[in-house]
Amino acid sequence: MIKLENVSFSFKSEPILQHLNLNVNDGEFIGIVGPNGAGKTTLIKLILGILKPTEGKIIKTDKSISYVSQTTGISDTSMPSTVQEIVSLGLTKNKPAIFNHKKNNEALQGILKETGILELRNRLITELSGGQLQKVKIAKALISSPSLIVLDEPDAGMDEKSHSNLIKTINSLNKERKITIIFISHHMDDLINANHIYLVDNKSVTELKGGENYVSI
Amino acid sequence: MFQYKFMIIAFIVGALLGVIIPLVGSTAVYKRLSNTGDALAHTSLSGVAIGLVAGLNPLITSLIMCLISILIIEFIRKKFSKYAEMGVAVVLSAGIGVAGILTSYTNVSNFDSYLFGSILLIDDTELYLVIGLFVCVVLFYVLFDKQILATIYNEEEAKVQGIKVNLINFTQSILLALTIALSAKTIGSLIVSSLIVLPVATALQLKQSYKITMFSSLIISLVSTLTGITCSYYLDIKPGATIIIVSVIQLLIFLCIKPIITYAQKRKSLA
Repeated sequence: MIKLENVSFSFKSEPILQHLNLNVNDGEFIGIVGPNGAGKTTLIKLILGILKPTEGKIIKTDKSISYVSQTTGISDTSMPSTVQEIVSLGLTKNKPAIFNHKKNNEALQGILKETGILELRNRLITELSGGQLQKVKIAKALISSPSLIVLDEPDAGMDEKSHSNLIKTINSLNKERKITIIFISHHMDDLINANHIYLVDNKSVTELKGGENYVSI
Repeated sequence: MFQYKFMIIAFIVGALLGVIIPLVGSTAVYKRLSNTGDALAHTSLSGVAIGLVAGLNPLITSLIMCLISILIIEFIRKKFSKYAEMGVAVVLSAGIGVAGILTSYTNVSNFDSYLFGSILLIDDTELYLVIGLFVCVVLFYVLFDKQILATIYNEEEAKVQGIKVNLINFTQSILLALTIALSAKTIGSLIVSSLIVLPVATALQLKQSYKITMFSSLIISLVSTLTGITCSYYLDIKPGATIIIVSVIQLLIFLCIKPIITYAQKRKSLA
């Protein structure tokens, strides 16, 4: 469960988000939409604890959270890393990994099979297509068996088929595995199964109800 | 060659630095901040100049200047993440400026030994410092290799997982600064930054995993360091400069055989 109570965030005295109140219950699928630069990513960074609110408080009961950030970072295009090296990073905490190597290896093989990228395990991530890279990111997020996954426009730059597969995967994670999903998207169609859809605009967050639509800008 | 104690020490120090320089440098290369090594090398020179002018131990002043510089670079990188390279450029320019002005007041021959290094004139204190640094760097990179890779790959995702990203970055920066400051006297300030980039650049031609690339860069660096020292002994030329020329030749060889490696990898994947 996540609860935002009167949360505000300012950057260099410039208010970005003001007086937000939001509840996310366990197992819910939450969609977040809004124009570019409205503060969607700031909102999820506040939820994730990457940013600290300048006012208000955020209560989180989820112990295991995974974050899938936007694609095409420097690392995705230049890091000499294999698929299995990147996916296994999802299990990394602060302890040296050599102490639970065998257990981690079993989890790795399991998640590679489940996400359909077992045959790609030794490929370099720099050689993957957008859709394959997205599967790697999802596998990395899932390997730690999280109770909440936050996805920030993970479909950016993907072709139609890969995009459609990604949406199916996200829906099944929520329905079958009961994982709470917070999903930033520019497409209302992607959020058909969402329990709540929030529009971030004009420094505030409002829920879109009863089939209200939002046209991406 | 090994009848001389100074050659044995040169080989030991060369081998130890040959292993740790690409280790600490690889992170900067992957983050596309390769010039960090250059900036630190130049500020280490300003530290040496301060030491020589003030009559202090140049190694100590060089270490202090490198540590201050890396903190400034990290501060600018955090505050202006979109302009991370700006911090490197600022520190590099300031380093050259301070070193340039202060050299007017120092003994030039003393200062020159730090430009190209004097690996054959290492005293016991420097040897012990290099051994101590080697142990710290190797332990850190072996024990925390996953955390380091996670931080290079995506800092925000790593933070959400609970990895202490700031601590990992800070430790890496400190180890990089210490390595460059210690290498200034032995390998040379103008040369150490090349040794950060060249072995990693050569290993990247193999197109292998993070672990294999890292291990290959250590082997490549070790070969170039030891070959460079050996050649410098027999040809009576500067060791630091020779090490770099060997590294460049290695890179050129790898670039030439790259098509063969790529062809072999394709055949293997088709089979």
